[in-house]
Amino acid sequence: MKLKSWMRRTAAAALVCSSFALAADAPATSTATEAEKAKALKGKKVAFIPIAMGFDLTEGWAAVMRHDAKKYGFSLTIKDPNWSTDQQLQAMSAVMAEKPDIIIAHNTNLQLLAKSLQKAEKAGIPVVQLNMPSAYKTDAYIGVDWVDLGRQTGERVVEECSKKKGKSGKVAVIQGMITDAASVFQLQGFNEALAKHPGEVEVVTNQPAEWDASKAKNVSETIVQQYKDLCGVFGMWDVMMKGAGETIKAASAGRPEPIKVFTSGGGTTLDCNGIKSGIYHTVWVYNVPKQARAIMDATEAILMSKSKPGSKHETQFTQLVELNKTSMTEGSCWDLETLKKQMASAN
Amino acid sequence: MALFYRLWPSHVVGELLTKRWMESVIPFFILLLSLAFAQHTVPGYFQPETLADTVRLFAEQGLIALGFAAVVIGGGIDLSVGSVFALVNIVAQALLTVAHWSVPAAVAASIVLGAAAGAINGLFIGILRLRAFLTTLVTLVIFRAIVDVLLIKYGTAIATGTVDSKAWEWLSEGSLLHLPSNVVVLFGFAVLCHLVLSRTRPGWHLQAIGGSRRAAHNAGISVRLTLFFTYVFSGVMVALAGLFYAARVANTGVEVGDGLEFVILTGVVLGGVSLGGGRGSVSRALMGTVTVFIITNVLVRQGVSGGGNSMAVGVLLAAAVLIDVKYQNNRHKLIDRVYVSPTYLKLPQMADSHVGSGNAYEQNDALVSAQAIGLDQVDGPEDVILDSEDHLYCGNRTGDIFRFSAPDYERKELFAHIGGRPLGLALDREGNIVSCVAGMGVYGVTPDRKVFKLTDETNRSWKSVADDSRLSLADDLDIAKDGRIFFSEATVRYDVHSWPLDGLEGRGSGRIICYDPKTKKTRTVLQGLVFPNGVCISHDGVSLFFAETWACRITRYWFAGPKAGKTQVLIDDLPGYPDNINRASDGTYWLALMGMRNPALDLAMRMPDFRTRMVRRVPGDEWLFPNINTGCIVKFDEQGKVLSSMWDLGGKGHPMISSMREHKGWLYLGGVSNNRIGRIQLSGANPNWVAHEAWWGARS
Repeated sequence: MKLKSWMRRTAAAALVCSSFALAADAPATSTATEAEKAKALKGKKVAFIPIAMGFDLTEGWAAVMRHDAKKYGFSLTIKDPNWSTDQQLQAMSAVMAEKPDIIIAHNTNLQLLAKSLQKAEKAGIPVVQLNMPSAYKTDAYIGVDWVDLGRQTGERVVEECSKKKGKSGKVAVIQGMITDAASVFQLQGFNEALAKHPGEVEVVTNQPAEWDASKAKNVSETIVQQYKDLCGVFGMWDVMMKGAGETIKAASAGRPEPIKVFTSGGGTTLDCNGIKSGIYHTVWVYNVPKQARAIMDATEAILMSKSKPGSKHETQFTQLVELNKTSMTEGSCWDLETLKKQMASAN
Repeated sequence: MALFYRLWPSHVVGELLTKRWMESVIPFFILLLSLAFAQHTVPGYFQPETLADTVRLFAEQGLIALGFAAVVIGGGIDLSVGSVFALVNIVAQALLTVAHWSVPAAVAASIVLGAAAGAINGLFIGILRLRAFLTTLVTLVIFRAIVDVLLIKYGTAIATGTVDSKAWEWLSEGSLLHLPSNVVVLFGFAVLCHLVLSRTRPGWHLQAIGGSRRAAHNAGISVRLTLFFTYVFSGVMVALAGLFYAARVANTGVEVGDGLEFVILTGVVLGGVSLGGGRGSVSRALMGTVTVFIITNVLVRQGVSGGGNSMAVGVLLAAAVLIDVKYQNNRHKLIDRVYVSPTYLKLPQMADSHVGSGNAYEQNDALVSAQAIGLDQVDGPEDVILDSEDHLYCGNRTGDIFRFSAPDYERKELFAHIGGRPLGLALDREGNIVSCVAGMGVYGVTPDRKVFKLTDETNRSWKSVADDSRLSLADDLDIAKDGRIFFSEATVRYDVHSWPLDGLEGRGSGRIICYDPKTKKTRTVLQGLVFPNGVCISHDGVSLFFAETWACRITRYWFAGPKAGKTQVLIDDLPGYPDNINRASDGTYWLALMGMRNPALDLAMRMPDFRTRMVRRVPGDEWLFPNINTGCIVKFDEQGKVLSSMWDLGGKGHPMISSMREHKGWLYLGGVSNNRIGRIQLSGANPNWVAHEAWWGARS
């Protein structure tokens, strides 16, 4: 009895502190000691449902998750739907059947998991949404403020491509899956930014490439042929824009001014190399290792708290760093393999 | 050895394979395996609360599978299901969230949309007769493109909008009798589809078209319209699935329904709905779809990555197609290989019939001088009979009863056409000719030539795998004084074209059946007989004799009187294979031997493996067979004592005698493969004796 109330108090304290820490986007500092944390988290079940595994974001998050699972003795299941909405849905109901203590969801689109997440909360399972929120708000959202990212991109695009500055003002947009959070909200922010500068920038085409690099490459091939005076391309994800960026760079060769690629991503060496080689002009980076730390801190805090799932809606936006040739430094980017190794050996 | 063959039911394998429901056994077995797999790998897979969720996930695939199966059974394919599914999903959501339609209106519009999409496929494939594969591949792309356009236009609005409706909620999460809403609808449609497919004209038409489009067309089936409507039906089912999906998930993803056609195709084919068309059932389609769903679902739950999942479906499809093609191609070969299943049959020592042996079977040339009637005008008069006016009747291979007019029997006429293969004949009290017709049953012909059916089925015996309720090889009959007709069915395992195979088996597959015209009931009275052939009621009127051809014996059976129900073997050492038995004027009986025994075949009958190899490896005309080149008629008395015999050695005129009939001092001979009827004058026989008048009494 005594122990229980003591634990509750510590947990509450941890939650308060960690929420504070989250809001400040600083490295997590919890008043709970590591030993206390390990005691509280031991034997808990954490389920992570990504959109897919096998790329920098999800693999980076997962590396940190695995590290924490090992360290604190909770179990971690990862269901890989491999970009299929149908399988993500099945994964969700499979996870529900396993009755985990918390679910970390990475939503393929705004609606897909909304009802399931609501159900999970009703069933007493708290849900943390990760980088890609759904239309339904749960206990916590850790990730990019997509509207803001879109706005920043829009402002930079205006700066670089405005007709007022003697540029063509023609910009193409390559978005993700149309109905996912990143696409919907970035486009919203982007349009807001452009609206502040009427007539300066014109979106000549806006096409979905479904986060698929080969589709984005196809789309960019037609765009560069169609618009000979294209100024910039706003591609919503660095991984998707890699091949496309090369195509665009090659097409820029015979033009008075190269076409600028504006994109964003997890900040791996892909971004630094891309900027160096001129594939990307500007990349907004949300640092995955830091983001993962924040996710795990939030997850662990919720696990340690006793509040009813769905009673709070924490939101913590990941800090965005704008990288370009001038702002980039040696340590701007991280490497997935290195992170994995670090996480495997760290304690 | 002998005991093993007598007890081991090796013939059941072949009979099982001929069953249509056998085709469901493999998919059912695979389904059980997948269920076991689920239970094994995912603990608690079948817990009620999670199972309801799982089943809800499945129901939409099940609905699509129903329509898909209908199309495949009709010989087509519908690759556009995934795109139509996505189209309905997005349109239904757009109507509700963007256009703010009411739920009933949106549902109705969605179903109409699905039907219209199906109608486009149906128009091109059914009416304009384009290839299903290419057409639906094209519509797959087109419908998908429409979805993409709609998504770009309305995607954001749909993704950020919500639907607030109780009806929509029910589609999404409601349940009826503890069953999820979409499962209820799936169940309803499954039952409906099953009934339509198996019990109604359109369903039969569809299967006929899938089996052979040209033959169906020639049979007067409206091929084009039927096919058209299968695609419309498929579209409607997809629309229903899309609606449930839209309500349940509200997924606005671009890849909704992507690869769905692949999953459904795999399921349907795995269930044993043949891609070649014409074969399949609702239950099989659903079994296969459930199997594929469970396997993919389990893999997702196991955390196997998506690539592994697609690979599993691919492997399943390859296996299913392989099974489908191989099974269809080899099923008949397999049945041919295993159906004939010889058993051990030891015949007693045969009576000596050599010249000089001095016994009643001693060979002679008594039949060589038989006169021929209707030479080359008849084909296989298995039995012959004469009426009071001395006219002679016989059955014919063509399904006819011919009449040769007295007194010279020169004039042949078609008395009646029954069909089938008329074998044994009898005259009843009213003077109707009653005949056992192989392939049909027992039929009668009135003196004014009207054909009527007496019976074509008997009670189904529960021990038999083969359906033995139909009469497939009714052979010979006789009519008791109370009007009951006793007839033999030589075998339930073969028909009239393949009866010699039954001889090679030497198995008791025949029976004696009784038809009572008073109650119009047909009952099997004796079973497990070795090719029961001739049936003749004895002069006492309460028992009958029947010949078991391959066992070379005559048995007496009492159907009335104090010994009713008893049987007794009367003669078991016949030198030949007995056929029909008929009463003689002197109170004895005539017996036809349709072939002679030989020691080699007698030995072979004790060597089942040898005969199995013979049937599989040697062409039919090289098989060991009774000597049917010699005709013989035997006379025996009530106690089974053989009195005399008449032979046609060499068989130039009357080999393989299957019947004989005494009439006014003459004996008339029939043969199941002969080209004539024979007649020979009997010395010392009553010159006024007419068989049916002696039995029924002379008519006034």
